[in-house]
Amino acid sequence: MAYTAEINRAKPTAFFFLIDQSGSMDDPYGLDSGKRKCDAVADAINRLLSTLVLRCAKGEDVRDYFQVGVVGYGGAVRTGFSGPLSQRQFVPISEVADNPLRVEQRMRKEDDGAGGLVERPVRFPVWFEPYANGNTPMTAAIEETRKIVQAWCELYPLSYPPVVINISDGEPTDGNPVPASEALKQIGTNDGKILFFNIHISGSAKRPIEFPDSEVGLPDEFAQRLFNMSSVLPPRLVDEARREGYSAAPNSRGFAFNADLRALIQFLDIGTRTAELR
Amino acid sequence: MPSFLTEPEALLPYAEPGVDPGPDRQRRKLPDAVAYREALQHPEAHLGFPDLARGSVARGRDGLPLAYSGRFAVVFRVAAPDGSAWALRCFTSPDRLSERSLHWQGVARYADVLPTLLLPVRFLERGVRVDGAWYPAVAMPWASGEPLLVFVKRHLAVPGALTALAESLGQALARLEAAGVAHGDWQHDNLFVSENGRGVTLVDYDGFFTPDWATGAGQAIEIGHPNYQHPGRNAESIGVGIDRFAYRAMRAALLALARDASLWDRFGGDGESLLFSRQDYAAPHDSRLFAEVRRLAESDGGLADALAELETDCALPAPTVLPALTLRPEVGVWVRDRRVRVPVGNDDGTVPSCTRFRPYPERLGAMEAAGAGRRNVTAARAFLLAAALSIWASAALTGWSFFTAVLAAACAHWFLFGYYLNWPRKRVWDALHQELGKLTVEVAGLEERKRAAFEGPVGPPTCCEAVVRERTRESLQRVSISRALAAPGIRRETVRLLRSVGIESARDLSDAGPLPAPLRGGAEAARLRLWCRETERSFAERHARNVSPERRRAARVRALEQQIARRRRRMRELQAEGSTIRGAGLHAYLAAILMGRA
Repeated sequence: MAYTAEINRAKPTAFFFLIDQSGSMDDPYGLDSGKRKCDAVADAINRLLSTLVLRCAKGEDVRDYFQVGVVGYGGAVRTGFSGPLSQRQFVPISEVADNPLRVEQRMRKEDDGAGGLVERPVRFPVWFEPYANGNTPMTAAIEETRKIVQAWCELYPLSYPPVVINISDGEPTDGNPVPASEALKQIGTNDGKILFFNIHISGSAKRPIEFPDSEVGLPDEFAQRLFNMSSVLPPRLVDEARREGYSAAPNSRGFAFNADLRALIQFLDIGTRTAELR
Repeated sequence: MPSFLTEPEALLPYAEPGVDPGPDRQRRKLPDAVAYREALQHPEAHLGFPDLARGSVARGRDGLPLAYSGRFAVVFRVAAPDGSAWALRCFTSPDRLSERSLHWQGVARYADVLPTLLLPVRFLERGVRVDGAWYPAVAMPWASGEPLLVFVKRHLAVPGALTALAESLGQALARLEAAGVAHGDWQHDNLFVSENGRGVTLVDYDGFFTPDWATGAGQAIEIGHPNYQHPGRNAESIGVGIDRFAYRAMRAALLALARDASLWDRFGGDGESLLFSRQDYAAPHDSRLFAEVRRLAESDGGLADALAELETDCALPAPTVLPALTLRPEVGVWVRDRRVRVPVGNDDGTVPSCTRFRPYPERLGAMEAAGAGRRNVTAARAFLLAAALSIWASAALTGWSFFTAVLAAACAHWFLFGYYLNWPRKRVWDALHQELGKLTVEVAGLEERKRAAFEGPVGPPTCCEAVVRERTRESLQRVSISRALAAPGIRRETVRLLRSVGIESARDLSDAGPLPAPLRGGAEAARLRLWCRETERSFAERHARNVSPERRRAARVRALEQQIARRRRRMRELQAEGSTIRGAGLHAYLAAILMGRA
């Protein structure tokens, strides 16, 4: 059965992020006027990386259950992290944990419990800067990712198949990305084909959508195309999503509209297994 | 023991936000580990319990709180102002969250029964505040000792420590089983070893089994670490004895390591298991590790026994759950256990009732979860297509003839009765409205009867006389004849005499014919008769007051009103349930078929 490989340090799984850094990401994001799409993307990816790190954390010890690779596309296709992790196609999660670009102090407004708002400084690790420039070579980026993922799968043929997450506003400038994504989805390990998930960051202020099972109700053609490019969730992940209170159906896809899919990382069983859903 | 575990929780140092941890919380998504880590950066503002809020959270090199992640929760280490270290367990998975507080109360009770093996735990309804909302958490002392693998690695060259540890694990298992509980997830991250292998502490009680709180409806939320569990373990394998397999695997591994420490480098040491892994259990005869251990066991009786037990277990299709230790729900007691008796049921001593039907939306949910809605819609789609085709074919062949019209009508009929009425949402909707309709009719009938009772004639007093007479006689029966002594001029001898002829009560006296000879005709007999009549009259008056026609009518009206109120209450419930079911009309059905919004 596919998608049942145990994730452990000898057989880690991998997450590859494709990040849209094109000029269109400079547009405002949602109703949150002060924020641009590229800020939203940078926040989403930094938070996803934090989630990955924490999922593997046992105190100071971050166990290498995951490896992480990144491909940015805006003007051109760039692979790898910036800073100390640059020049690497995939990096074990413990090294990611140890090498953020910096740990920022952000001010967070919150309810002070007495009806007012209070600002508190919160430390927030940052691996990615917001960046927006040039056109959107999504197809080229997917093809580049395919090579990297292919190499990874050859190194870890017994592992749980890697998850590729594309974060974009969905307007490629280098042609139709569907054939490239179909080719990408044909790669896999012995445990199944890779999972290609898409996160659509949109300027429209529609409510977030996660794990839809049909393109009906998605706000625009870009969202629909990204939905159609996304892999169908394996049954086990559907079960986990339902257990966590998401309304996932058997043909739900790994697609999110203005949401960040971070729940997926929690769904992967590491160590103790969850019981099958009733 | 720090005050923390016993002090009431309500002492919050600041005003409570208007967040109601109501039933919705079950569905609310919980914060993830990152959100908890942000909140823990300011314990004074985000922790509910004063001792913890004043404490400090352990942080890593980057200044962020250190987190220990699991599948269901993330744990932070908090040092209270008095220097004691606490583990704060924050839930990241909402799975059966509503049952958690009961689960942890159950665990807390056994933590008292099994000191040192289990740590005292405290479920905090208001554990951590994230984005203005409170989330529950569990606090427990930080476990002392070393994690299992760290201990084993450090003592590879000390066989005595490893065998001592195997021994302590056996004692730990025996204590758990004697108490009638099971931990459910014995594994390297959940076992802490102290005192050179002679002390063992278990942490992480998410899968803990207690007889009064069989996690969920007798189902486990998790099935343990695969490298320590029987390959056949599933959600149903829960109960006392579920830890035996892990214990046997650990004992065999520890005794083998005590004989040959080189096994550690060859088979363990990767941090994922002690020695044996899931693959070894699934096929012991193909396993190189089992072969090695068998060889070692040839010269070690203890190891041979341990290995034989493990191999026997592996050969079984499912893990052992002790059969005699089952619950008898009808009496609510733990059958075999002699030490701990905990009743099954709610905290107020009542046993949860099972007689109520499931609410309609739940029934619909169950049907849809089983895929009934989707199947129906898919079949209807196919039917509509086939019907359209055959009508079209008929029209093409015979023109718009009578036959085509009949065919179309038959198809429409079939579609309505065969598919639409069987659509789960429609069926549940109909059932709900049927019940509602029945209740409406009943309420109308009851209202009518109430009005009739109210407006109708009061009824002749005679209808009550028989009742009054009967009740008076019953009351007289309860008045002992000795009470006659209270009346003036009645002697003890007289009462004794009456008793001797079988007159025991006022009623016997009233029914008696002539009194015995010594009394007959005397003044005392007259006094007795007077006492008897007086008593009878006072009872008759009292009962007549209670069964007057007006009272009877009022009681009747009250009873009818109660019946009406009961039905109205149920109707309101039904209306509320109905409002949560989305439209079940024909147009909604057609929308579901055509647009796929099932």
